[in-house]
Amino acid sequence: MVNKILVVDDSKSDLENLKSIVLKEGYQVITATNGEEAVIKAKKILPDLILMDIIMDDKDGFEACREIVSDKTTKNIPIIFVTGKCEKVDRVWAELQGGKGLVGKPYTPEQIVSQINRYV
Amino acid sequence: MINSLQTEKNQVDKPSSRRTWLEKHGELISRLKDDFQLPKKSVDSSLATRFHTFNVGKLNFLVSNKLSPEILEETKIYPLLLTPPWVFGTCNVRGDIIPVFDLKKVFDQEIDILNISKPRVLVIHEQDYTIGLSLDELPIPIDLKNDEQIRNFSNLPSVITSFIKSAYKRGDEIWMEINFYSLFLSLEN
Repeated sequence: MVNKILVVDDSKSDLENLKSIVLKEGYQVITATNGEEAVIKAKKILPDLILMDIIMDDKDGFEACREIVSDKTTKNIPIIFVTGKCEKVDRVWAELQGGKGLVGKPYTPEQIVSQINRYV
Repeated sequence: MINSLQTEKNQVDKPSSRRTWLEKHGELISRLKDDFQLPKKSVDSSLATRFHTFNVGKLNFLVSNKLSPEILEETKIYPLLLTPPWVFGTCNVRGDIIPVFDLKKVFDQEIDILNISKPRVLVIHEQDYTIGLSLDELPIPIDLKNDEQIRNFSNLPSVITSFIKSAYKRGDEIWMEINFYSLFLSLEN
């Protein structure tokens, strides 16, 4: 069975870029453009991993992560933040919110693939 | 009597009659419920709420996860002239200028000179406002159970008791969730 990866980003170009990297690796991709949509899709589809932006309108990545991690059905889904917010403190904060890793923008496809391979 | 009840029962077995019967006896049922004091839906005491906690001197504060706490580091804080000492300044959060407050100055806590050069700002977003609090350390997540909640705030600092949303006690430690915005608004006044 093909592993499913949920990609969440409010920027269309970033979303397409991440999507193409993940598709090239042979995974099935589901996309969401904000935190609210990410939470709904995570609960419905139960992906094997989530690549999540942090700065998004309505519900940001941290908020969505907290909601996903606190839900019984989705708490074991690894969440990797892919964001421009990548100071040292953001990495620690991301971990405290329940994230498994953080890849700073701009990123290389190898960085994304290595994070996926770590958890899927 | 038995025959009349039997007739009534037979009628109740029909769905349309059941509604009529319930309408007819609804008042009696609700009165019986009151008489027997049927248990109301109780709050599960083992249920935990997740907060983020940080200290200001010896005081432990809580920030609800619902307020989307966010941390800024290496951010520039611009001082404001003619403001009280507990107003640290303002900073820019993705284009929004927000006020940053210094809780240590509010509660007369010692200032750690070593940490002054690198202020961290805890940003709290609520529906009507966004504010920043300058902190020395990162807030950490904490799960507090409903049965650890305390209602008596008499032992807590009087300056904040009227702003406490909730308070929890575990062992000797007490955590307070307060409405920071109202607190600073009242200090200003």
